[in-house]
Amino acid sequence: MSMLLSSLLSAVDTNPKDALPAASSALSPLEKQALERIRGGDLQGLKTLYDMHALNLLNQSWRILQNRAAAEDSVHDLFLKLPEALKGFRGESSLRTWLFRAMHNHCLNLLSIESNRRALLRRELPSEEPLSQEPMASTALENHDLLQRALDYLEPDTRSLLWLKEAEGLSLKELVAIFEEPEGTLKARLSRAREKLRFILAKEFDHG
Amino acid sequence: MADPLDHLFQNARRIQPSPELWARIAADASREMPFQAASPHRSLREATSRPSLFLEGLLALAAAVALLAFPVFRPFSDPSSLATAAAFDATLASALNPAEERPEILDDETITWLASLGEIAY
Repeated sequence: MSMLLSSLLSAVDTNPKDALPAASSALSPLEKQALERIRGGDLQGLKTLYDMHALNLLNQSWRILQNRAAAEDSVHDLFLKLPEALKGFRGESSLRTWLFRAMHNHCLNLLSIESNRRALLRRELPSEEPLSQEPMASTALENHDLLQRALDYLEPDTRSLLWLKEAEGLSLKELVAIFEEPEGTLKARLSRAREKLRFILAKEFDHG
Repeated sequence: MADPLDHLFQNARRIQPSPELWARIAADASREMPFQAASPHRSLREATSRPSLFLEGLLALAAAVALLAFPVFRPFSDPSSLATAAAFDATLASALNPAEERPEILDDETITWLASLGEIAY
């Protein structure tokens, strides 16, 4: 799993010179200092980035995976691979956008692996009771969250897109960097997703 | 009128990382390579002050002096030369079988007999 995350992180942004950006405006002074400390083998540098970004990354992951424990595991995996992966950070986008993109890709891969695992189990255990179609088992916390229940009806990729735009307030330019789709396509996807969500909320939750 | 969806997202519940999450990351990250590798910013003075580097240099110097002082080992430097290799084989053979090179010890009777024949000056 960690190998997979490493390849994802390296695919996010690669730099042939294998060096951190010298004086990138995409980094805040605090982030720049943290990256230098990480390069020097100082764990405190990683803690600084954790304090700055872990909360947002955890919530992004939670909205995609819909499971708190799995979301925490994904943050753990991401930060563990960060010191090595940051060598490939070119500073073409902000570090926040770069991290959101890495987390988005990581979560979609986790869901794909989980889906394949479940499909395999269904084939191997045909007499067993059918397994849940949900990507990962939800906990009581998720079930009590209206938005989370509504997001359940959307594809994981669309959940991620909506969350980053509407809750995290990312710009279309930042979303283009994360989803690698033209701005017009993303606008259309967002519009359709909002309509679908509005319909789901009206249909499923208006009556209790 | 504000879109209720906007309100829903802006007031969406956010979960906090559990207190153990950072501790778990820190413990695992400490075991990972980047935190144990030497810093690229370490100065040359720091690098050369390592005792192991000093010993390695000393050993290399001793080996160089040994090669200069003991020419018997030099043939190894030119293995393609048959003559040199043959000379080395002879030297090695004599070193391994010193008895073959050692002159025989003659007893007094033999010496007297050889002297009478004029073979040796006694």
